[in-house]
Amino acid sequence: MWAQNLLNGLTSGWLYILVALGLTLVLSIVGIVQLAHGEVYMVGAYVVYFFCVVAGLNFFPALLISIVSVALLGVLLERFFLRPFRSDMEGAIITTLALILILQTGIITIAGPGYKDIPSPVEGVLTILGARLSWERLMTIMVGVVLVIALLLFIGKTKVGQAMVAVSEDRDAAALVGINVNKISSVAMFLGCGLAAAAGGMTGPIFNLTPFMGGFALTKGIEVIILGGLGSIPGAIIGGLILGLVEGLITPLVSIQVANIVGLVVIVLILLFRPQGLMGHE
Amino acid sequence: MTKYFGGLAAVDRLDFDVQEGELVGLIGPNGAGKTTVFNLITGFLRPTGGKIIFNEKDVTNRKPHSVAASGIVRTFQATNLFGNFTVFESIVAACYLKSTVGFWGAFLHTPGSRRDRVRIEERALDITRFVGLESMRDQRARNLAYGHKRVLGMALSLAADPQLLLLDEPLSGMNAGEVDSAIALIRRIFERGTAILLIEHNMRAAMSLCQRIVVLQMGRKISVGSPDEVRADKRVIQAYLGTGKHVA
Amino acid sequence: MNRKKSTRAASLGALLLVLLVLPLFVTQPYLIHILIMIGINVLLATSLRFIATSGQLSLAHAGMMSVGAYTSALLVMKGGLSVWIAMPLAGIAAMILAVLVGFPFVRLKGIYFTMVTLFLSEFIRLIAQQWKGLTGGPSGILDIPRPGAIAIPGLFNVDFASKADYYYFILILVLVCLLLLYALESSRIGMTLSSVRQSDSLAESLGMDAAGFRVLAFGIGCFFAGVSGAFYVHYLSAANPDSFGFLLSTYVLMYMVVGGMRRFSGPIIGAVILTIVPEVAGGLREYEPFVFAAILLLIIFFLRDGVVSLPERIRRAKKEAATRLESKA
Repeated sequence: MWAQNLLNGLTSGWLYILVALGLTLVLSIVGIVQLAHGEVYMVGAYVVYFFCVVAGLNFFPALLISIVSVALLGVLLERFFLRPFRSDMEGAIITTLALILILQTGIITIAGPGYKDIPSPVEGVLTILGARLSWERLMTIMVGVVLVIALLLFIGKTKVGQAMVAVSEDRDAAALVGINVNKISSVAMFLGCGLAAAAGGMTGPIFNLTPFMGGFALTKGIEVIILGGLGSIPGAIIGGLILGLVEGLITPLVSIQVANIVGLVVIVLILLFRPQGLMGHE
Repeated sequence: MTKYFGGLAAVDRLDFDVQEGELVGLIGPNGAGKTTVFNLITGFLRPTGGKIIFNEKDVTNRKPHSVAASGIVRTFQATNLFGNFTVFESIVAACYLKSTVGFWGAFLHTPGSRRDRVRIEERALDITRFVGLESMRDQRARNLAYGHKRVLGMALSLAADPQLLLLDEPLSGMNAGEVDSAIALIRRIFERGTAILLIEHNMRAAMSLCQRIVVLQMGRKISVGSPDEVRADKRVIQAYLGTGKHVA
Repeated sequence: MNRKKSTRAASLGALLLVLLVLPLFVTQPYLIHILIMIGINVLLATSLRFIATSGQLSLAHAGMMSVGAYTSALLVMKGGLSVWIAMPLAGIAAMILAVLVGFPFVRLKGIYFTMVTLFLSEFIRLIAQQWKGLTGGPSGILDIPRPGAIAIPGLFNVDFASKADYYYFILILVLVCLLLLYALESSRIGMTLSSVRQSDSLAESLGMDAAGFRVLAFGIGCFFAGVSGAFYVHYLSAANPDSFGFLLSTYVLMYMVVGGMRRFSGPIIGAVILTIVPEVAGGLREYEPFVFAAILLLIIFFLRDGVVSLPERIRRAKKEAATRLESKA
């Protein structure tokens, strides 16, 4: 029984990690708190729904299409809606709020406000030592791990990845050494939105889709990056795992709402007393 | 006082004093910790060790606004102004400590608050004239020329009526003419009885203004004395020569 | 200068007169309801701006409304107090909460303060949803009593049976609150808040307690949010956690930014425009968020300082055009 909770916790954890990584990439490289990140996640889920359920494609191609198309959408959004407000926090809040409204209402208009379901691409359970672990969740975790490893390799081993690190540490210095900050911002947005779309797409088979699922993802993403430290990728990974595991193991004992409330309180306390999170530097 | 950042001592067991009505200079090569000293004195940073005593009171761990209220006011190295206010409005705002009207008086716009306003505005006008900015009193602070912005910064600190004024490189970025009038202004402030602690890289100004000079290098006091004494001190010459500068 | 002041006073007086006699001409309950909602939104937006004068954007207004709403409802229904006493107390309850969390919160800069106010609002909503014993849970509290009748024998008897009564109530309430907020802002307190907003380090170096003033602004702004919430539930006679969600906080922020944050009248104009627009959109209700988003983007890209800055922009554009013509001539 607890093995199942553990698995659920790990699954949520890796989904949170994907969302949080996207959010932290945009935050530290584009320089904006992308409040519409949850909506990007939601759109990612719906694109998979359309290609999978409506158009009849297989799940994995649909997921790939979603990741790429939403990533490209993100690049457009960054170019026209986010870049002008890099140093204007109030303006950035307003534009991202406008984007939330547009994306959410857009999906409601196209798909309606009700719940949607994406059938699971893998059925069945793996039985180990008496525990029944759903393949669906195991697959989600595996895809999540693969994506994160790919991201880490990209950042660590490629020139663009290194440039991203430079921009996240000091944008002006990076520009001075010849890095095209705008191009790097686009890349960061591409990756960040792609990760969010991946998370959204993989959420589909496990939970229901609604046009309002973005807010939840954003909250969790913010909780993870505050916990792990703003701008820290290892922090996002560890933070996501901690949050997911704690939720997976605690929620069955209390109710999900109480878990949410406690989560909020912990995050606020961290912001107030250890704002650099677990792994951030301040 | 001592201040450690991580493992690095930005200020290392520094010990000096400023007497009433004195004009003391604080000089040293870049990175010597001079602005850190200002931050420590005025409560923007907490010392890792040591104490700051002012008028026989321990002001060490006080918040900046509390230190200002005790009579120590600082200026900033980088331009730091109330950009949207006009020159006059900025100085009126900076007279905060001289205003006697409390919350309710201000809120209810009592006759007392109106009298206070008139009094403060007169004082602000005096200060505007004293620093030579009355011809641009209605210009927005952010639209001022750089040199005038620095002068406005000094005017704001004067508005708070300090007993000890900490000037952080007031002359930086000024052209020759502006430097001369700023030096004259500093002298006028000093002659009115305000004690001044002056950080400056402009050696000619520092030597001509200061009665006493404290020299810092890497957070430590390496020399103290009159301008002539300090100028001739081998350790000081070494400190500056080492970084390619020379003492004027 | 004096002529400008007297024309302004005259136009405000005329506006006041129009507002006072409006219910005589506008009798449809639906339209009066819109006017009442405009009143509430004006109060919300102006009080949010008061917080913003200290340099911090709050997304906690929905939560503070909620605190005011439930406090007032409970004080009346369980405590037996009159609505007239409960409402100001409800505002005070919101203010006390704001001051308590304010002290740690104002230490956070910029977007982090905004985030933490968002979390606070969400926290309040979840508590209201979960604490069935106190707040009635997700279904909330119903049958909240109307304000007690006021009667001056021979003159009038106001028993809040008709919407027009609520209209006059909110009109007077908003006028009084706006007066209070304006008095604060035009005093040395307002000047100090503005100083803190422009540079908190400079303000501190000159003796101003930046954190303290930010808490003051936050507390006062949330007081009026609480009062708005209390009025709201006595008007609708129902309180419900979902009425006070994230969307409401963002709407209030929008009223403020669209109207313009630089002037006192900005949020008022923003609230009026953005309360009326969805009603005019009428049949296109599902597209209301699109319209809002479009307005937001238009303002933020082309009229950054809000609708209220339009006259000045036009004046400046005319001046530039005139000087360009001169140099060509």
